[in-house]
Amino acid sequence: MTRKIFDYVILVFCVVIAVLLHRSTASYPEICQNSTAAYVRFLALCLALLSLIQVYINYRKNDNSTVEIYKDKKRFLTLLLLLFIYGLLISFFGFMLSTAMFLPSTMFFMGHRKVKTIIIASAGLLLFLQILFVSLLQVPLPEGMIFG
Amino acid sequence: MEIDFLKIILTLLSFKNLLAVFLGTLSGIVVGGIPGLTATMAVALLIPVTFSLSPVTGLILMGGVYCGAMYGGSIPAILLRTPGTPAAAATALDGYPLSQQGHGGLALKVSVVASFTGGIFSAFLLLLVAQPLASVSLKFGPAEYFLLAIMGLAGIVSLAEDDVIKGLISGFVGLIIAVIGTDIISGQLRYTMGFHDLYEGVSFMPALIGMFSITQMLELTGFDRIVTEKIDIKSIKREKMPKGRQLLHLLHIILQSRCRNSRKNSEKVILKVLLLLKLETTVVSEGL
Repeated sequence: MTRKIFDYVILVFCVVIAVLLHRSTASYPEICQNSTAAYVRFLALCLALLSLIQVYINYRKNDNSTVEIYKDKKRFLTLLLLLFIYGLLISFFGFMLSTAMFLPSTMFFMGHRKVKTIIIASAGLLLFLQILFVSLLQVPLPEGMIFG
Repeated sequence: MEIDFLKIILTLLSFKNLLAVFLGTLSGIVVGGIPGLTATMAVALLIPVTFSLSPVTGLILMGGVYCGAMYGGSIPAILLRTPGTPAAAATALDGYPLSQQGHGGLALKVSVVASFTGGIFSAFLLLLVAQPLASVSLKFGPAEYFLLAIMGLAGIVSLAEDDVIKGLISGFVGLIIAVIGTDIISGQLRYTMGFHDLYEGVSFMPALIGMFSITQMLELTGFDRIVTEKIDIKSIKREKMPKGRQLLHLLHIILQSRCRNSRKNSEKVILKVLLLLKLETTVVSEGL
């Protein structure tokens, strides 16, 4: 993708956000219509205006450089998918169990094939987190709906 | 009031207090090196431990932990591009490229020197201006808050040298992100989408980890290792501190605290804006 198109996508997204933000201030309570709502409207207007100025600058600029989002498409998308699944799993299985599933699978999909290394690294990290947060600092780790 | 400096120095040099400095700094480095745990959190966790100590030793221990954590945060920032503490966010921008070139050892050494000199300098400065600063901070009102915000926005112009408009867009995105949370005037929840964690706004540490670590993870999918060239680990460990003109150049960079050679992307500018906003909030809240 060329940098120009990439910039346009981001800038249009900014304009959409600005419009939605501006519209959302209508639902603010009456008490803050002249304070918080006005501030948020100001932010939205500034964002939209600056984005449009940047669109114009980009239009005038002769830039044919490209943007490389990923180097290895398969690994990039796999990691994105794994991160998404991990985020979902935490709410169901809790932090420890979902991390115990996420770490080895990520290492495997990222190209590690030594089972011993994967097991030692995953178990070691989980043990370290358990000792540090739960035992020493007494910080509760996120618990899931199915397992604690 | 007469100050007995000799007595102060002898108290500081007692074995117990020196041990407190050592243990405090060591544990601070460990805590600061773990992304997610900040220097303030390290000190807060240590408070119960200090109850059994004398006030001087307790304060020394907490100071050691704080300073150690401030440096410790730069270790993952330099080696993994993941700041251990929010203060180390800028270190990642310059330190990580050095690690990629196989100069991670040098970056860590420079970070130690910079943390030490910065810490000593700020301690002396605080000693000199603490009293007038306290009286000024009591006079802080809405106008001063506004001026601080303007100062933050003015900072964007100097940080986004070549692309001011993009820098300003990033700045406004940062300000919009800061809108998320509870409205202090009406108590209304703004853009929290039902998430309890967002009631107090977007926390700084998760934002930093998301901005640095996740992008770093995704970026690394295209590589097999961080350092592309084959480099001897022992040579990294033995890397010496620069001397002469190189050292002067380094000091210049440290004093400037800027990221001229870093990649010019919006992520960096957003982060800087968030940092500026956080800095302002910290200055104001700690001042008050």
